[in-house]
Amino acid sequence: MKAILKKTAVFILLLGITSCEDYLELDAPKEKIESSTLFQNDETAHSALVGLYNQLASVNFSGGGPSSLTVLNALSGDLLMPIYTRNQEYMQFEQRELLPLNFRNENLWTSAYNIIYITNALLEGIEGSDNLSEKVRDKIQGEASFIRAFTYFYLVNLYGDVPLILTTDYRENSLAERVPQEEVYQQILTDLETAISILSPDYSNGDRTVVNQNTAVAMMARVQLYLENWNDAELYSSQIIDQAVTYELLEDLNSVFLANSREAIWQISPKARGFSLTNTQEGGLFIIHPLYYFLAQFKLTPSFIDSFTTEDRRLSDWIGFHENTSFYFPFKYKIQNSTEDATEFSMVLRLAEQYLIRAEARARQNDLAGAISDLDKIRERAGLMTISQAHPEIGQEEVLQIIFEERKKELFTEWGHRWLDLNRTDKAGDIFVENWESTDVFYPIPENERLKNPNLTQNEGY
Amino acid sequence: MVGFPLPAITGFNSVQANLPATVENKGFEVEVSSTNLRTKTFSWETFFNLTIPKNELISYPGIEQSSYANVYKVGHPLSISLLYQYEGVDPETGLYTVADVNDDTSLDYNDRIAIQNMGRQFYGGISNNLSYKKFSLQFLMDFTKQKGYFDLFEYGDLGNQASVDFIELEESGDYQRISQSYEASEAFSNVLFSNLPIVDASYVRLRSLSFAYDFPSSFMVPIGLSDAKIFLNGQNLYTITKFKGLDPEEPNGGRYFAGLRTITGGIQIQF
Repeated sequence: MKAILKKTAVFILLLGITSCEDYLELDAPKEKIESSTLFQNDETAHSALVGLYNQLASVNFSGGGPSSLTVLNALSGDLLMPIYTRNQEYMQFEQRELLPLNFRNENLWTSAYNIIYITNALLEGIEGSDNLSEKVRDKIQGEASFIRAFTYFYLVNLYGDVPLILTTDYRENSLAERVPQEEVYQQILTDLETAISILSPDYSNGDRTVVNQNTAVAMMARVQLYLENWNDAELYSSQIIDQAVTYELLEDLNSVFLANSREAIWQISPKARGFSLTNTQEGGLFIIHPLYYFLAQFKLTPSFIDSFTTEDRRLSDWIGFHENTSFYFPFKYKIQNSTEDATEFSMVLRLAEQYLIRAEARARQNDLAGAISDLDKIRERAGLMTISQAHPEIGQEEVLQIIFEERKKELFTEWGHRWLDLNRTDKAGDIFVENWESTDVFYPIPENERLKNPNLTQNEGY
Repeated sequence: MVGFPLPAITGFNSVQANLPATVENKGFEVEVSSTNLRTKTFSWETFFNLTIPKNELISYPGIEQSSYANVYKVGHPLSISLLYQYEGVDPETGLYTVADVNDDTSLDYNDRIAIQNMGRQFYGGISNNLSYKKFSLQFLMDFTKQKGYFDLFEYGDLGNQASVDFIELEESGDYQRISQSYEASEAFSNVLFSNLPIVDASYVRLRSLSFAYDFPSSFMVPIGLSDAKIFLNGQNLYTITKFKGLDPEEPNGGRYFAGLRTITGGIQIQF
């Protein structure tokens, strides 16, 4: 009995000496790097930045795949329609009658905030490190700020007020409330200004896939246009247009979407996905294969096709036609499937948009001659009669209307331009007469997000 | 320590965390065994067990400001579902309707107030061993009282339907007709989160049955054997349930099932 007591006493004593802390402190797994060490040298910090680009090429929001902004907004913008009407999730976008449970809408939201998280982690990482060279620090700060602004631009245009997440602290962020659109735009402007002030105008690795100063200037031109600061929009877009050494409108429409095309301001490389496939996801998804046409998901809407005149080269060069089914499809990217070295990059920002931005900004300021001269650049390239020849005397409203139409025909199925244009100009109601409600301009906040964050309110009308 | 769900705006889906929750598990269990009959040639034994489990979230400070606010409720088990209250088919539109509790013309988790316990209310089993001379018979039945989610609910969905559903759609006015309209697909998608597809998934299942015969020694010794036995075993032979899903043992949706019916027979010989 005594012996047992003694043993018990020793055991209890031992318990008192050791605490479990020592057991639970494990070294980090060998294949992983902690964020604190990641930002201790230039090389690993830069590799984290490369990871952001890889993520952009892969995730739903920006990848160009089935739940990408490009696809879903083209459905809502009356450009694209699902071939199979039983596909309810796509039909809801096309009918502009979204349910908060729509998982593609959730994919869009979730992946956009995933990008935001990575940019925040990068910005926090360089903040907390003093071992980085100035060059790498500026590069990370500029590029991450740009991509954060770029992503928030879409979030605020798709959902209205959204949570403005600028840190990585999940305890705080999991309960974040939506903030007014003005506040989000303020952050977008701040981030773009940061990017413009510290980034160099060169493409650092020779590819037009890395964000630089011009990328940020071009985006700034667009943001100023959306904010209706016409003068600023004109100034920023001029900065890009004036760089004729770097950027030009390509005469051959079939070369516009090639890798590092001289029209590109920013592209996303499909190589960054890390797969053996090197075609753009847009090419893979949109092109209707002559034989395997039954795999195709989408076709262009008849009303969009009908809006082209027959001499428009964009109709012949950028739109494909499948004989058997009589379906039209977006054919800006020509490669559906490839494992060769990538020859096409997914276009995000290009010079043609800058001309259209400046045309609109000038028209709004009643500089109609200037507006028409920019507009004619685009029309001329498309093989159309220029406005200065055909209707030199037209008024402001008509010029704006032509710009609006040209934006549709020039920028279709690229990054949601049409859907965003319809909403920022309040034209959606005129065009979608049937069951359009003013609340349809914003997509619903995904139901599952609201389940997990009780502070997240729903948009009107859902 | 659980994977605590996070909204995607944080950049993650979940985080490993300790929760400030107190959960109580208690229950009531009975086990009875009886020897009903025992004579020289015949014996009959019965074993019976019954469990009534009770699980309750006693407290969770700050649940309203957590991602569990719309998943768990204090004072209820962890196995609840929060659902819309189903209000029948609208006689005018022919569509399913669920209650918009706060009258804000929008249906979301604030309207999911029907608390449905999806856990088992009680369960148990009865096993019987009978033997008569060289024959023996054993069988085990188990039973569970519970609610289940009818995962194959598709009455009124726009898409392919099981033929039995078609017949039911034709004959009964309880369901929404198939329609291409947006309103119909919205109503259908809402009703999936209501208590309409919640059905009784209780069952009694003949879990196992085995029958054996020992050959008498008078028969074996002359042919040089020491022991011989012939037997037949069956598992999951028969289920009594009203549940129309695939298997009442998987009552919470999911298109899989637990036990296949298995029958084995054999002869055991010892020299």
